[in-house]
Amino acid sequence: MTLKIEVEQSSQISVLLELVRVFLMQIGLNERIFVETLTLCSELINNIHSHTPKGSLSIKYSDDKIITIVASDSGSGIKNIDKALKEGYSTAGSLGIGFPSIIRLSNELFVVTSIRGTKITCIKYEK
Amino acid sequence: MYQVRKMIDFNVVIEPFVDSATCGDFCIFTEKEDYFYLAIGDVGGHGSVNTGNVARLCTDVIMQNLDKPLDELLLQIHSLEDVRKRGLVLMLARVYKKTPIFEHVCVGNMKLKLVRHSVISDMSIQEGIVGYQIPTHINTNLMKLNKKDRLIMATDGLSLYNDKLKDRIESDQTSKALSEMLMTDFNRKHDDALVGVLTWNVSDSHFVAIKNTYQGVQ
Repeated sequence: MTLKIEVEQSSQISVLLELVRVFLMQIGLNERIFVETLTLCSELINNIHSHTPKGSLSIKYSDDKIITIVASDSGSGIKNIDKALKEGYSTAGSLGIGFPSIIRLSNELFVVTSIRGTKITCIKYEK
Repeated sequence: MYQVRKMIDFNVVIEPFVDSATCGDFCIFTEKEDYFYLAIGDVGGHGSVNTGNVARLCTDVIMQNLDKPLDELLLQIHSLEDVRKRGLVLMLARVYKKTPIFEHVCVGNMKLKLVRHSVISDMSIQEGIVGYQIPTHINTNLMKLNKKDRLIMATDGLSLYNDKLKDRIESDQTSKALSEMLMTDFNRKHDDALVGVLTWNVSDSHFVAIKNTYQGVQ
């Protein structure tokens, strides 16, 4: 099962999150994993919306009960990684809880960032 | 608050083709307040004093710029006149202490392997030669470290192939034992050779405990 959504400046975040919520409900995850995955997707969508002109989010649920979430954007990359890893740091005037939360909520996390954009791959185990 | 040195088990083995003065392979592993810093390089050529001198120059420049963003430092080294004469394969990395993240940039022919749950995968590198030709944009890579993750980093003086590696890695090996075994078994013997092994020893719950301590919960 796969869901892919485009995130743009004009996007209504609440509408996108509803799409994600319905998709995750269809998978039938247990409550804890459902809430964590929805939170993870919310952080990723907010990051794209706040920091970049355009991006996308895809969620894939595979037979081996692994949820793979990929967020890609065409922004200018993560400028100061040292600061981005710290709680409370934000360049978008938000609460700045995004990136540390993404790290904590992911079982596996891979990020590639450059001046051409950022790709974040989060993996969650259902088990 | 927590014992940093138990977080990481790192060891590097370097075998110069001739001697250490002419060796182009180099490694830096040092500790700062918030992170460990790791750099591995392979200067073009071997058995020449000039090659060794460029390796020492790179080491000095890196040590003087540990706080600089990794991609910026790679570009700075790329522009060094002496590096432009010989070429360089370079990986710069940080391992953060308060969050389980390995950050790296890497350009050139280096083997970077992640061993996780007995599966070996190749980590991201970019093609090119520092000093000669590098990509138009340098990728900075971040990876969350999981307990018992092993990172194996080697220059082209070793021929590491995943299928051959798989049978040689045991879960309870120390980084020292594994790096020494890899050097013995995979050294091609006609170049400088370097292999480093980093083992990550802490789990996610360790960082939750740290966060709670900072917030005064515990």
